[in-house]
Amino acid sequence: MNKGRLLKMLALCVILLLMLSQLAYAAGPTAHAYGFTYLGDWSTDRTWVVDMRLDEGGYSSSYLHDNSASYVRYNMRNDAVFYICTHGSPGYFCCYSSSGTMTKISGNAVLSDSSCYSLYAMYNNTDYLKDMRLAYLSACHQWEIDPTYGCTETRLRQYGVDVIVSWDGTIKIPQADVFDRFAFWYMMREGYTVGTALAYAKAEVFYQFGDYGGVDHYHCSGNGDEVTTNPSNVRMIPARYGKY
Amino acid sequence: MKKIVLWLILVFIVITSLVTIVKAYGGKDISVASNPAQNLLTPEEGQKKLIQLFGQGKGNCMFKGKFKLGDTEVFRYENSEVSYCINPKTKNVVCIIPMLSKVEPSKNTINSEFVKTTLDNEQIETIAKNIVKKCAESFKLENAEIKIEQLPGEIERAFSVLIIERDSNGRRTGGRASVSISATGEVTFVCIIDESYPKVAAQEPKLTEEEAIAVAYKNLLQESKEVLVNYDKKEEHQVEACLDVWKGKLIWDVKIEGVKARLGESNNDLYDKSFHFKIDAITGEVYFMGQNK
Repeated sequence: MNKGRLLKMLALCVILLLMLSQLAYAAGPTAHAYGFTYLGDWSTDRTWVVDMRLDEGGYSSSYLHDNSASYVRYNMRNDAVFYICTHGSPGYFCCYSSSGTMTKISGNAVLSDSSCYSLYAMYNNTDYLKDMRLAYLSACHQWEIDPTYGCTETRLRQYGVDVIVSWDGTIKIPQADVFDRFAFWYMMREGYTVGTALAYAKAEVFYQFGDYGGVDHYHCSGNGDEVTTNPSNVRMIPARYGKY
Repeated sequence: MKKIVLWLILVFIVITSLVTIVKAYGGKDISVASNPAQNLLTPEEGQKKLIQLFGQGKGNCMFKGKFKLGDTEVFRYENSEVSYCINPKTKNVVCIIPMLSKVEPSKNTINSEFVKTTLDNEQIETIAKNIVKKCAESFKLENAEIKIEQLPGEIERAFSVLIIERDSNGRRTGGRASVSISATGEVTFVCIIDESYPKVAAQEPKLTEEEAIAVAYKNLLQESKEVLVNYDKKEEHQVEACLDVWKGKLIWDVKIEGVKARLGESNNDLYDKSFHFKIDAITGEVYFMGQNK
């Protein structure tokens, strides 16, 4: 075989390998990380880092910003991992347009609030969220119950999500920033269970700030996966969808 | 003549070097700095220490390498049950993290409810102090400030204990420990900052408490005045300030709560905003400003 032919063959092999790797990448379970430019860097930068970690963990992740509650709520149904970094109050978390128009995703349907899009209205008696392995609600109060708006964590648990990470009380932005970055590092890069990754993230926050700013009030709940019924012991890699 | 100049230059170099060394180490008020490099713990010594402290079962761990907790380099050890971190400079166990959760969370509890427990605060405090003493001998527990909190809905991390090291005058010295304890009294998380700065803590602040609070308010308004509703109604806020030592600096730790903020541009929804500042008590520099989401 002459040299020219050999080179051509080699080039073809390289191209084929690249195409295959792209295909494999695209075939990873879907993940979405949502941030909002209206809230500033603390929402967008962190979401971008989480998106990167999800990609590294084998998920086919997209970083989306400035989407409305109606879009985010609809889009959740395809996700293996759902991450959102935003403001929250008991019973709902907020979605913002770039100009600051706010809409809410709540646990319960609240007819008197036109900005509210509930998980109940879209997902009650459906199995759309059963494929979700991890819902990480990086916002204040998502573990708490509001008599009107309900509770987002409870709804996600009821609708079949394997692991939900949420907080009771408020969380300070700088501490939550470190917590989320390290939690995803330990889950996606080091392969620890969700519970161990969260504990390591907690230790990192303590070492950096000398206090927690509320992030130690995290809750790891959910239905578990095919390996364990304990959500804390679920591992996020290898990447896969949730237990159906 | 040439020789004299050379000698003079040599003497000058020696003197300046000595002054630099004295300056670098003379003022340091940290136990870590006084440890010469040859006294660092080796990974093997760390393994032996863990077996000695926690027995063959829990203490028998693999060395997993060096990594950083904050700015501190630590050794990490693991077995199937637990992960430990040892600070090779202080030789203390500074972190204990479970590798597997043993407690199945209840799927039916109402989120706001506390899990039932027979432990009282005195028992919790004793458990926390014992584990800190075991892990970090140098940690001073005598005058320590203890804060115990129960987390709603949690069995495995039912109690969160914060131990803040203080000197005999009640001043915080920078050392602190965080311990989680299950509803049945098992230690499920330990993290210890074992650096203490008693000389820094003994300094008199140049900034008064009122001045520190004024600095905090100035920064609060610069940062987020446009979304705050009652920023000028200070009587509605809860303000707390205390002297502390953070990363070797004397600081005022200022917390402002009860501030109302708008959630967005399009509606009238309000939420409670709280602010946290760490302000240098000597220079007035703001090292940290945190607000909730």
